[in-house]
Order: sequence, then structure tokens, then C-alpha cells
Amino acid sequence: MPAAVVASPSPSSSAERHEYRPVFTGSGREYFRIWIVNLCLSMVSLGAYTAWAKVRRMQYFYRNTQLAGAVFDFHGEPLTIFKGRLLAVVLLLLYHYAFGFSKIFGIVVVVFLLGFLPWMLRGALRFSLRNSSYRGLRFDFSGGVLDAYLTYWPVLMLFLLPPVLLAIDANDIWLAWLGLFYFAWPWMHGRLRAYQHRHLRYGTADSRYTLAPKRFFRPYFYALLLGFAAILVGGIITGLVLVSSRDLLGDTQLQALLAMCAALLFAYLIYLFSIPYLQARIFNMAWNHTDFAHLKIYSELPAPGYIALLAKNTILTIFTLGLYRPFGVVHAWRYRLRHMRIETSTGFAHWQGSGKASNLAQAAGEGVADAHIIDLSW
Amino acid sequence: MIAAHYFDGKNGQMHPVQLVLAHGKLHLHGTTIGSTIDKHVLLHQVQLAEPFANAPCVLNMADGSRCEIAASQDKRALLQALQYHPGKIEKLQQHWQGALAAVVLMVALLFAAKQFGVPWLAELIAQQVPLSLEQKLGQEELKALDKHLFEPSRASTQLQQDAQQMLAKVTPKESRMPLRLVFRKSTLVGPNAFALPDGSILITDAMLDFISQKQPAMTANQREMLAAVLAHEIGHLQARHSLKSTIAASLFAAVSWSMLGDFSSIAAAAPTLLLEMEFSREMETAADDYAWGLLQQQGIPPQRLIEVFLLLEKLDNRKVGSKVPHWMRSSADYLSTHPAYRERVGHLEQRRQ
Repeated sequence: MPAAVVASPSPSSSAERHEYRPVFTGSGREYFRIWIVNLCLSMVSLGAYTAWAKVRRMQYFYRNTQLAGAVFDFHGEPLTIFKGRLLAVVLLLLYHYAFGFSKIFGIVVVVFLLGFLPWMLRGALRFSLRNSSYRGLRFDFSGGVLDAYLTYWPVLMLFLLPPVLLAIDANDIWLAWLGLFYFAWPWMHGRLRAYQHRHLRYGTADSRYTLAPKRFFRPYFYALLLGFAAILVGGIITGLVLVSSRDLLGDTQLQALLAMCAALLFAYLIYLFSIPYLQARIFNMAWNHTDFAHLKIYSELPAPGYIALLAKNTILTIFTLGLYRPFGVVHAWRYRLRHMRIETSTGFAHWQGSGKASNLAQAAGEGVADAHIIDLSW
Repeated sequence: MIAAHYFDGKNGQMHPVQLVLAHGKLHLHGTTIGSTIDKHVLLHQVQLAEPFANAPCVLNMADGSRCEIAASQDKRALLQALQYHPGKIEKLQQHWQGALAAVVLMVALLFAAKQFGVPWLAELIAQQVPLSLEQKLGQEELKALDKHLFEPSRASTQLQQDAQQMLAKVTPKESRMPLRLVFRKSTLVGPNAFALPDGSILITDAMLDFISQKQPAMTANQREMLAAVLAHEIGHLQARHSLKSTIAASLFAAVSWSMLGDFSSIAAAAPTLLLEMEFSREMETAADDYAWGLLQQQGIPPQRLIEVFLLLEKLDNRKVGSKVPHWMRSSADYLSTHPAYRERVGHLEQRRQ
């Protein structure tokens, strides 16, 4: 595909306001080749190469994202990321085997994780943002350490407490109380997002974020409804199938098993419908309420379209044993960009750089966060 | 002359410039409203980022400024002027053959890892684990099982004595640890027997009832069948299978997670599960072989092992109907928790010839 000259449209202005739409210039075919070779190298190196692969991936997606004639970029050092990932593996092993040795050891590990993870997750955000740039100016994250603990602790408790309670043979009452806390998850998610978006910085400019955490309850509620609707439809179909084939299947045990398979299918339906819905809504909400002085961000991802796209990605990825994944990732990225726009009354020329040294190593934080515990992609 | 956009790294202003590369130097110059750029940089202080097909070429300069070159002809001219040669990895990425070779190599590596790498590593690690740790693991496991699954046994003293006798008969001299029988009752689990890492062999009341056909005492044949089951479990203990399978499971998970971490989501779990099942199948066959040899050595006809499997299968079929494949049956009895028993019966029959 021939490269177009500065593909994004010239600013449509009405005296003061310039509107820019980001454009993605990459392709699934090109990314597939990058992806497959990097995957192979990662396997040969028993995972060591994943740090280099990640840098290449970030650079591919950032440099192919064009806005107002310039592109984004990623500057992370692979070696730094690699060290972070080693640390992440150690922490994971500790967490995995914590209670295998003794209760005391397990509790020590949990306390350690609770004590360090918020700090590391904040470090991950700083690393990610400080190594991202646009027009030569770096981004940054200005969230404080105390805020990090207040934001991440409730979430970590939800994840780390259940094994602790099980290990110390706590009363079922405790587990029930913990269960109640899961209902507060949308609010916690809202707080997580607020922490990330409220402290963005581009050059010397700070972001503003105006979305209250409790607003997350609504999309979760609708996502749940959507999930139930999917299960209802699936349940009706399964019921019809079971009833009509009852003669063939006389055995109640077999019917019970089919019900189990159906349950798995329903869980999968929730994954296919509710989660993309939730992602689209939250993405829109979070970005629509994030802005900088003289620059507004708009995100209008349509939920039905996004659900259809991710469903198609998932199904094709399964049928191709994973080979379709790079295409799916490209399509999703492009889709999200296509439904965003930036409005600025002053253009980009006036933004000032912070002049800070740009290669601070917050590696430890980056490795852990990237590993698995919390997804910080935005 | 190459057209580019220059960003000085101090503000967001985009400066259209022309690039000239000559004599080891890069010269940028351009004029826009209110500013003139005239800059000389040594070429070896300029870094060219890895080029992508449709993204602009990027030149990063030591002072934090950068150039973006977007137009195709300008990109080509730039790469030529810089005498750019794609590195090995970049070459691989640009050609389908490279990608294809990568896929084939990937599959071969996965296979090698499964067949040789993981079992060998699991063996190596298992050798480092001290016996005391195994004892501890076994005790913890029994505690957990007693808490959630088992009640004290209601089997008759006679049956328990029969079982103890057969254990004594079948315990090899070279046993790695003292063996003992643990009797438990469970309504959820059917006839079953399994070994715990500390040398305890747990037998359910249902298994005792099954072998004795609900009679108060076992016949000689039935005792020998029980001995066969015990011998099989001893085989697992001698080879430290439960420890190795724990290690192998962790290795499989670690390998697939580290390799596929960026690249896959739920799909990574499925192959891991399959690999684990395959691994445990091999362990079962190994335990069968050991049991066969041990039974012969202790003077018990080894075909009792085959007989007890076939009887268990008959019991299973009566309960569920033979059309249902074993892996779908919800009962947790001996056969469904011991995979591929039919192949193992075939394998044992061959040994008999």
C-alpha cells in the first residue's frame, strides 16, 4: 500500500477550533510478519526476547498512529523492560507458591505484595508514559504515592485476601463479607481509571478528569443485563435441544453433563458480549472526561460495532489456532482510533516540553504491571 | 534534498525542513513563520528508528529533537543516503518465508519442549526436593482431603486387615519410604485409590466393597486384585509422580505464559491442559509397568491388574451406560481419574504374551 503523504486531513477550522482525527497507517499483514517472527524469537529465548518484542510492538503501533501530521513514538529500553519482567516472574512464583510452604510464609508474601505493588504499579504508569512521546514531547504521570496506595489497595485486597482467608481457615462469614465487596468492584474500577487519567501530563500540561467513580456502575449494570440476555437465549436453545433429544439420552447423568457444557458455553457468551460492551463504554466515558487546557478529547466508540468486531476477532483467532490474533489487534486499534477525535483551539505548536531527563528507569514497576496482574493499557 | 518535519523537543511546533546528508553530517534547514532552522548534526549521533512500511521514518537526535520523514520517495532517499541495511530480524519480518519458517520452528520447539524438555527438567528439579518436603506435602494434602471430601472409614476390620496384609505382601524392599494404608469413606468419590507423597495410600470404602463384591472377606483372587491396585500406586510413589506432575504443571504454565504472554489470552490455557494430560498418561503407563514387575517379583499373578481394570469398567458401564465416553462421566471413580486405561490394558496384555 503506497504511503500517503500526511494522511490525516488538514484541520477543519471554524476560526478558533481545530479538529483532528487520528489515523492508523499500519496493516494486519505487515504486523503479522512482525508478530510471528517476534513470537518465534520469544519462544526460542524462553521468554527473554519478549522485552524486545514489546518495544517493537509499541513502536509499531505508536509510529503508525498519525495525528495532525505527526506520529507518536515509544522510547522504552528493552533491557530495562527485561529486568522488570524477571522481577515480575519472581513475584509471580512467590504468589503462586506462597501458601504451599507454610501459612506464615504465605501471609508474609501477601503483606509484601500489598506493601509494594501499589508503588510498583505507579512506577509502571510513569515508565509507560515517560517513554511515550508525540511531536518530540514526552508524556508523564504525576500521580502521587499515597494516592496509589489508596487507589490500588481495595483492588489488591479483592485479589489477595481470598487465598489468605482460605489458608487460615477463616469462617465462611468472612468469605461472605468479602463477597459483598465484589459488588463494589465497578466503583473501584472507576477509581483506578480516575487515578490514571487525572494525572496525565503532556510536556508541561496537566490533564483534567471529571468523571466520578460511581458512574461506572451503569455500564457494569447494562453489561450484566446483556450477559443475562445472552444466557437466556442460550438457555432457551439448550432447553429445546435437551427436550427434543430426551429419548436418545435417557440418562440423567448425561443430561447433567450437557448442562455443565451449556454453562461453559454461557460463560463464553458473556465473554463475547458483555466484556466488549463494557470495554467500549468505559473507554468512551474515561476519554470523554479527560482533557487538557485548550484540548478536548472525544471518543465515540459504538458498542454494537465494537462487540461485533471483538467477537469476530475471537472466533477467527480460535479457528486459526491463534494466527489471526495480530490481524485482530490491528483492527481493534484502528477501530478505536477511527472513533476518536481531538479538538484544540490553539493547535500543537505552543505545547512546552518539560525538559526532564527522558530515560528514567521505572523498570521494576513496568515489568510487574505488564506481566499479568493489572492491565494498564489505555 | 529530503523533505522532513522537525521537532526540537522543547515545544510541539512542527518545522518543515529539508535534509541534506553529506560527509558524515546531517544538515537540516527550513524556514517557517517566525523561525529558521539551520542545524548540523554528526551522522553517528543520529539514530534511525526501525523503519515500518507506512509509518514515517524517524531520526532521533542526541539532544532529544527528532525528524519525521513521511513521503515514500523521501523515505527511500533517506534510507539510501544512510546506507541502511535491514538487520537479520528486520529481514525476516519483511519476507513471508521468514514468517513461515518461524511458525514451523515454533511448532517443532513446542513439541520438543513437551516431549523432552519438560519431563527432563521436572526430573531434575524433583531430584532436588528433599524427602521431608514430600512428607509435609502429603500430610497437608490428607488434611485438606479430610476437611472437604472424606469421612472416617466404615469398612469392616476384616477387610482392612485383608488390605494391610496385601500391602505388606507387595511392599518392595527398595521402597523409598515407609508405606501405610489410609482408609476413608466418601459418597462423592466412587471406588478409588491413590497415593499421597508421604507414602500413604488412600483407599475408599467403595473400593474395598467393590473388590470384595460386598462380601465380609476377600477371596484369594480378590486379594490379589487389591494387591495389583496397591502395586500400581506404589509405582507412582517410587517414581515421585505426584511431585513431578506438580513441577511439570508449573513448568508448562511458566513456559506457555512467558512465551505467549504478549501474544495470547485464554487460548494459551488449552494446550497447557492437553500437555498435562499427556504427561500424566505416560506416568500411568509407567506405574502399570512397575506394578507388573513388582507383582511378578512378589509372586502374585500380574494379570490381576488387567482383571481389576476390566471389572471397574463393567461397574462403570452399568451405572452410566457404555455409550458415554469415559471423560464425560461425572463420577470420580478410579477409571475416570486414570486416563486412557483401555490403552494401558492393551499395553499390559502385550506384556503378558
